[in-house]
Amino acid sequence: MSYGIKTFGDDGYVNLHSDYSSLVYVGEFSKETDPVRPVYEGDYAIPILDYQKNNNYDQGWLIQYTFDFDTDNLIPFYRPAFDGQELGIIDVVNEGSTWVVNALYQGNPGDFPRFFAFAPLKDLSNVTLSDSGLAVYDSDSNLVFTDSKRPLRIDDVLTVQHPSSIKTGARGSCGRNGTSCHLNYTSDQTTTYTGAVNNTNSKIYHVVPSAYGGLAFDDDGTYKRSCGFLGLGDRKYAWAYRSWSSFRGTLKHPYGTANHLTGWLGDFSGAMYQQKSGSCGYGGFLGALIGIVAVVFTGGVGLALIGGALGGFVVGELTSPTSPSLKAYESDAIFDQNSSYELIVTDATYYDIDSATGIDNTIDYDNLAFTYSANPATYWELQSMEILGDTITSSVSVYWNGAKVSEGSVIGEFSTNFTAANGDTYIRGPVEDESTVYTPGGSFVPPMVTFNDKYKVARVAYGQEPTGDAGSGDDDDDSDSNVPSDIPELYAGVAAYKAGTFSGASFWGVYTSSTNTAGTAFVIYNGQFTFLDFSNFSTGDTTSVTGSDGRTYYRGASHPEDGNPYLLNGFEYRYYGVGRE
Amino acid sequence: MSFGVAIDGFAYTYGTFSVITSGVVSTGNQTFAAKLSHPDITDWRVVFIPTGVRSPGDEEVRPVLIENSYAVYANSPSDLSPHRYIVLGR
Repeated sequence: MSYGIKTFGDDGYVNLHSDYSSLVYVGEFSKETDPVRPVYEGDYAIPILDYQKNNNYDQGWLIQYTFDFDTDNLIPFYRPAFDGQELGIIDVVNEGSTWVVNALYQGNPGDFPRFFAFAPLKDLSNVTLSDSGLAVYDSDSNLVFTDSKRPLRIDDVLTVQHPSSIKTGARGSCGRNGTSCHLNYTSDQTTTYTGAVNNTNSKIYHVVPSAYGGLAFDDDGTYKRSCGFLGLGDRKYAWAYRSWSSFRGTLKHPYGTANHLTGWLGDFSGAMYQQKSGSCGYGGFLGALIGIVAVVFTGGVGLALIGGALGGFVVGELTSPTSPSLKAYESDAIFDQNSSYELIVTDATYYDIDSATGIDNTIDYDNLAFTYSANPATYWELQSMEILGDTITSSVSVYWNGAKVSEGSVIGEFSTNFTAANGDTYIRGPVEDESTVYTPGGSFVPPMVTFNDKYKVARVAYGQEPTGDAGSGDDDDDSDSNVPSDIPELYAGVAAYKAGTFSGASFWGVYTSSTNTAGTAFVIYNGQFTFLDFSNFSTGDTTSVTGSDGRTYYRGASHPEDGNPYLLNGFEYRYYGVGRE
Repeated sequence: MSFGVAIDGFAYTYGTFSVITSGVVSTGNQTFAAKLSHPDITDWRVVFIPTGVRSPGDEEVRPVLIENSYAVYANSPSDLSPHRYIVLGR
């Protein structure tokens, strides 16, 4: 500089220089979408439940933010929602005067971080100067410093890199009985970088991690079972299994330490299982199986995602240009791990950014487990009967709490899940009980062999992943549901309730009468009354309530298929789904 | 404060970064800044901002900063996704 001004900070470095623009805080990003955790749901998919996304696939939540600001240069900072939260920026997209940030974070869906934008002061079109103070311009008459817009304060700056592997520990395996099997892909690798300033709840961070990769597993094989006359024949079976978890580089910043840990968090996962059988023969041979994953890896991931899997990222049937891109992995891989990048730390309070999270959402899932019970019957049953080596019948029955929920449906012999008419999805678990009975033939009756396999079963209740809409008239329309999208919504047992029993019932009910036109709400969850309000603390319009067990219950979707309103003894009943935190 | 700038009683004595230059990363080596042209700057950092959705399916790689005593510049791989660079200095 031939003339102008330059000053130095306590660290000995230039902190104000009339040749260079300062970086200033220009605003906070707005949350554009609800958080999502997409999984593969195409052909041969094994359902991945919420707790498996947490425990097996290490999946975080994808979310998108936007900020309208006309500049060519913008640096995003984030503030974690809680101590040690793992998160990372995936994409920064500039569309015209709108900036988009796609991010991935760990925790409950409501634990989304906040994002703040910094930009060069000289890019700002309108800056209000102080009545008194200092304004500095460069040789092109651009404003490069003013005391009314405090320059970015650097509390710490580090160069960081991600670990060279995602997981080194055992992840398990899945094989022939892997119809509901999931490996443990949870990352166990981090690299710690220690700075000079402790992390607190007011620190905000800029870093755009470069690294990404995935873990995968596949296996296949064959086996045979006896068949045909006296069981002397062989029927060959072939199976294949594949699963993966895709990861992005993330960081966490534990409070009370100056440590910054680079690590990995999943953004997309999938699991598949396929099985086929050949014909019964003596030394019978089953030809080549199974292009199991060609379905995924040639069709593109986008095709495998069911509608709504990317939540707010999806516009109609097309993925928004700013949606995060997802990848399915066939084998372990890491990309761009050896790039280093800058981690810049500053403090939100310095820019008068409040340090509140604005977040109070600690959803506790009811983990679904596979169950097997002979009484009341709760299992997945596969029966087949063969006469002289030919399969005559093969049928699947699904029982839940004593009821045959598969009534009226045809379920394939090797299906691993089934969705009932009311939207409840039943998932086949590991085989629990196998029996084979040979029946010798008589003069006029051929010999038979009968198989009866019982599997454990899990249920994902109605409404958890609805696909309908208000206009389609289908049963899984949840457009009037008040249950947060990440809470399972139950709806079952209304017919039994009408018949006078509560067993297996889970729903939100409202009844009105000529003397009680405002209505009264009640909740039955898993066969137990948790809220029965005879004192009119609620009305027919109530949509959430604290139950007698202290938990919050939400009124779910209405169910016109159950005859809402249902009239009985002068009362008018309406039935809804129910979810609870 | 023993020396420095104070405005309305607020002392600007903390460390900060200024924007030395910025632009679009293009494939191939590109010099961001020659250090001789910025004699007051002794600590250099470059922030790369991806300006489009990264496609892991395309196995995109991001630019790498290289710094020597003369300049800071990028090693921009052929499978680079769109990026901007912001050279920060103090």
